[in-house]
Amino acid sequence: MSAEVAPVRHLAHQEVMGTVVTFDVHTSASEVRVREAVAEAMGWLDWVDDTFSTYKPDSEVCRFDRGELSLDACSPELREVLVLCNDYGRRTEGYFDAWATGRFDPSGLVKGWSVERASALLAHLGFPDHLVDGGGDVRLRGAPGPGLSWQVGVRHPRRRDALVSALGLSAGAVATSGTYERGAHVFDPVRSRPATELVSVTVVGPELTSADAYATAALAMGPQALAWLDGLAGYEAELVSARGEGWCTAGFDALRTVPRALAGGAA
Amino acid sequence: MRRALITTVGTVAGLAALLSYKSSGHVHLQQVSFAPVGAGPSTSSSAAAPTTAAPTTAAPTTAAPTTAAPTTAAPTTGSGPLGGGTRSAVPGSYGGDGGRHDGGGDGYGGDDGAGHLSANGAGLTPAVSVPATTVPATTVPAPTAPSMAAPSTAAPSTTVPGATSGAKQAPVAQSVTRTYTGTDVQYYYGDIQVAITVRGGKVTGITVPRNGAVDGHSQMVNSYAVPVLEQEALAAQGLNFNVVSGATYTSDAFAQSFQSALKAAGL
Repeated sequence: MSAEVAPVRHLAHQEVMGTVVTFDVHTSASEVRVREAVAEAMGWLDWVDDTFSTYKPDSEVCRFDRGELSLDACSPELREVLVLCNDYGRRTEGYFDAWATGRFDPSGLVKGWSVERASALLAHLGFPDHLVDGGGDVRLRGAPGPGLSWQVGVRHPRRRDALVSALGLSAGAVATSGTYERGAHVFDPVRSRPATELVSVTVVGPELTSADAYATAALAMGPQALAWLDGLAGYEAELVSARGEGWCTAGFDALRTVPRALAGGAA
Repeated sequence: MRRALITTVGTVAGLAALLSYKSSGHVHLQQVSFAPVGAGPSTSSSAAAPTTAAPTTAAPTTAAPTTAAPTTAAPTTGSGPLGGGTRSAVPGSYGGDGGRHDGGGDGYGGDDGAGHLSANGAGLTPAVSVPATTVPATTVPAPTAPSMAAPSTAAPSTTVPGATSGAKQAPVAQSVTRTYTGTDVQYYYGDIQVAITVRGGKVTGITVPRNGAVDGHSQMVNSYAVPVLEQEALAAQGLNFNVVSGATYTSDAFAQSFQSALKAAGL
């Protein structure tokens, strides 16, 4: 990092995929360069939205689902997402299921995957210190400043203005799945019933595609997901039940900047 | 906590209920000192998940993203340092709520077959089995988790959840000491088995011949009432967050919030 110019924070927001993606880039590079890079990342996400939106009847994913497009005729990205959906179905013991609705709907994977790649793109373009926040699912790289770590709050499921955890991370991904934002519409594809035991699952991992998919799967899986997540090397997790109970892996505790023991009277 | 636990146990039936509860929890039958968790690595270093491989292939361009998926590295092979190396280094970290005697925030019911008091004849005990009906297996009481409806004062109540029992009298002879061993109960973090000695309808001793939870990764799982970290208070302590992870919000909500913020700002 150049000594002449102090790093500056650049913020940008993009409405895409039904949510808002925030880019937070820390760099001493010129604003023009940052803008170009962020514009490229935004272009990628727009393309992803056009390609994978299940709300756009003409999107590639809809045409593929209707059988109007053969697999060979699909974009490499769609084929890749298909493979990933299969992979994560297997890795999550069926709890991640892109076919749960009877249609192919990879939305649960596409956001994390595309944000992951947007972040990789920024790094590739010379911006190693940034975060990309895909509507609450976050990919972090580098640092927000020399010697600093990223400070990540995890939203309280019932309180917009409160957190359940405060984490310090230097790189990786944080994905939270919950029933509180888009309604309690999480379906447990294994037991064919709505998943209601958990209201929030947060997964910290090395990258966002998996963290997001695992958080989604864990929400459907219920409390037993904790043991499953605990067994995954490289991942830490916190679960919050509908009754206000929290469970986390010990490694998750190690990431906290505010120990639970000190967290007010409610710890 | 043990004291509180034992005072609950007046009768075998009471213990049965207690067992059915305890088997779903895990803190109270262990001698757990309140070891401050986070004995592991420092916050930032432990967070250093292996960043996924730098995108060696061309990053997607705006118009036609390339096939390269630089960031979807197989997550399970990462074996990142996210807690992985610390798993055995945080002993006894169950229940960061160590100082409390209530157990309000931990445990959750629902393990099938919990709490079957099988009088399986330890010692001289004949088959004075406690009738299965005595065991309120379904009374795995909601462990008085702090209601998230009142999260700011979410201190768990101090009642002992097992106390809901006592309705039934177990057919135990007056002055014979007997040992009853509970079934080995599977729960989310392992399994546990409890034995009691009973004399004159009173519990005179409790032992835990088996506590699988102290083995393996399940030890690394912590349980607690979810804290409520007021963002304002955190900010006042100088804790600011780069980002908040949460369930995906919709852009509609974002737009609304954005609008209201603008309004509040008088813009």
